[in-house]
Amino acid sequence: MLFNSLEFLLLFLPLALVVALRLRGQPLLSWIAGTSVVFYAFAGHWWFIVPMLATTVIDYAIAHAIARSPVARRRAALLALSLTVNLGLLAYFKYAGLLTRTVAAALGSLGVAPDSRLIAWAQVTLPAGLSFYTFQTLSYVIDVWRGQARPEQNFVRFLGFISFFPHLVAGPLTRHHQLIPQLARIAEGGIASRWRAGILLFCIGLAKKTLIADRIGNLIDPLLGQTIELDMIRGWLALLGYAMQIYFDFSGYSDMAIGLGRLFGIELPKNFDSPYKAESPSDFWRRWHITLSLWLRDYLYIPLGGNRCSPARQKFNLMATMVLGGLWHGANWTFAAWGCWHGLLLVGHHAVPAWERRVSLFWRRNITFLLVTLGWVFFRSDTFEHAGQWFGALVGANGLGRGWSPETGALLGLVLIGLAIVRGFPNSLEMDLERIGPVPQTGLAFATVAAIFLMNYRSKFLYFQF
Amino acid sequence: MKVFTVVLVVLLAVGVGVNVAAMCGRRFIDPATAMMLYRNVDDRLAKKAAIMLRPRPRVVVFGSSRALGITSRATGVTSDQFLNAAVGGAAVEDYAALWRVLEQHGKVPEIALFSIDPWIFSRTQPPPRWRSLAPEVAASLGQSVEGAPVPTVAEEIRYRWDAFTELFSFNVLRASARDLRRLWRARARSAEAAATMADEDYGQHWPALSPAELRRRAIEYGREGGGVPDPHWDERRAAWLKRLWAAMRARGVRIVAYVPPYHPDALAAVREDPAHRAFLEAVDRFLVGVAGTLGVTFVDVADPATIPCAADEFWDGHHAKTACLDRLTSRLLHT
Repeated sequence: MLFNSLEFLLLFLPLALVVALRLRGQPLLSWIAGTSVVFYAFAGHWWFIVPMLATTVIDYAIAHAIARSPVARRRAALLALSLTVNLGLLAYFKYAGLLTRTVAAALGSLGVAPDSRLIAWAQVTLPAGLSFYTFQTLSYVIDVWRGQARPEQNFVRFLGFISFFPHLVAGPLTRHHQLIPQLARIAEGGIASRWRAGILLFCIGLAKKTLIADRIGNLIDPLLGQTIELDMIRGWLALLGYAMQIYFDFSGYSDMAIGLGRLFGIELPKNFDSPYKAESPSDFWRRWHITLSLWLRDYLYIPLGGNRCSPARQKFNLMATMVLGGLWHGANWTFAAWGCWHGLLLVGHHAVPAWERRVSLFWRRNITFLLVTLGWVFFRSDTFEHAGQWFGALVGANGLGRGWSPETGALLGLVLIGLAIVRGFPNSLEMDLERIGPVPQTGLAFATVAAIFLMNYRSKFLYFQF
Repeated sequence: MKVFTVVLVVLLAVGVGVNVAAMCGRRFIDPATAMMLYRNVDDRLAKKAAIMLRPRPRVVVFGSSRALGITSRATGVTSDQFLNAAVGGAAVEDYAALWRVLEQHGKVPEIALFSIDPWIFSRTQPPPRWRSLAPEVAASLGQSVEGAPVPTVAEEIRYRWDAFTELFSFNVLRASARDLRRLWRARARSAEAAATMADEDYGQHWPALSPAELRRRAIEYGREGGGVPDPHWDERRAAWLKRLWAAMRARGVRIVAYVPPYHPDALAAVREDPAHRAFLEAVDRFLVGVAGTLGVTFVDVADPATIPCAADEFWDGHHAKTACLDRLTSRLLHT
């Protein structure tokens, strides 16, 4: 079930919310956890709930066992067990295909035919949200092991923390200390919905996704389906379009999630903070997918030594964190290349201490935007060959431009609108939605209705069209 | 917030209101006028009426919108001897219902040409539009299949929910606005003027797409599974088709069946996904097996190169143009 579906908006959400508003205590927590599991069961395949529930039960038990055990080695062994379970799930569902493909390709180059049964075994459907909830439970268990958190006593509340439907499928990646106390508070005092801020933010997110991201996606997909023929103008338009698409799509989803959380009296963490206004690569990572950046910093970069080590080791730590962060986004070596690109940008930025002093704000922002945008080539490409063709198009390998089509014009228009929004306006979380005036309210209402009709664009019955 | 709420409710009410008005208008005018004026008509009822009104056909086409472009031209019979009984988003239930109507009215054809969409074998099918022909479906399948509830409670709920969500569809809103405009102008002028408008509008059913847009749509369609987003083999419907064909063969009907062609990029995108590729292969295996048992002629022409049809001979990812369909029909019926 998607947030931008009528099933969610007209059936699931009203029912989940209306009942939740009437409950208190354990029944409220049970309702939230139960509806979240139902939501997840409709997120693709019903069996998605099996690994999610297994992770929840195992990590709940392991955290308690760690807290009870006075023996350091036993505590370390329990932590290792949790890491093995969580990373094992990720490894199987997300990376088994990549590893077998890589091994098969390597064997193939040596003239050895790979075992087809092994390749078939590794072709599994990735449960939606697996990458998010495994990181959530991992951070919880690690914090309990570090003594920075006490194990949650109430299993239903813990299940609610893992499965709370607004953040379950695509974040924001929420930590236990951000959500569990809020769940305890609403269980005790009931839900105090922030209707205005919640509904308006949800509608902004819906409009960002449906009216901008999806429309741009429709226009750039055919261009990127034939990168070998892509000319320079279309190559750049597709690149800028993708930069806008991924931002409006992901930040739109995050807005919807945060808005939904507010309806349940829960404030989910901020995930985006005008990333295309970033003044440096480091600044970009303080603004883009903030919850993931913070997770990687706290549970990967700092444990590796962070910046309290030799310059060479610090560079290694940065690169390792960014490459692994890249691979977290998807099981493809192009994601590793994307992470590597950002690692190099961060290392490069640290190597130029005069960046802030010597370069004007205008150029800092535009150079950062350009470098970040170039990195999206790796992120969007399925293969390095595809990425190479796209980079070739950007430097004019296929000529400057061949004709002008209505689609190109539409893409240019949407890119300009997107750029104007991301660079010229405050982001949705900077807006004071409690005091928004009548004109923006009217505009948002128009955008919301357009988004509702467009998200349901396709007709199931319209006979002439099928 | 008050301004937002009022504007939102008013705009939603206008959008839904236009769709409801078009729907109501369709019900309150006579069916013939509705057929002429409306784009959004129930094609199942129209096909049923066509079977009842026309002489016995020698060749009948069963299938979905992908077979709507098949005409008598390539079949070797006159237009009076030909009936295209294809309906949008066809299911096995539709075949059964329309066969029932043919039988009931003594119009059993000599040849039945089946365009078999893979989605008819998936439990995740298009909406149960065949509900329009529920009595015929029940009569046909109820006789041949043990315990065939038509429609089931789940199918009925789904049908009603889908019909409700249509009120919030941009595409339907656009069609409703056109339908209402035609209706209004027909009332103001004459039925002749309305017919002219309908003819003019017909050309817009399949707008000419640029090659890039055609390719985009084809890839998108393929990546979404080629009409079968979540393939799960449906034994029940597979058994229904087998029994339907057996019943038709028992009446002496020659059956020619094929899996219709996809745009080459759509087919490549479908085959990229192992689950979808496996599903297409399962469809093929089943149809080859049934064809062998029942003496049905079956050809898989999902790959347009086998006909051959070029990429620009498609309207989108899965609807072939008439020239391609003519070549296909001619090959199926005459070789």
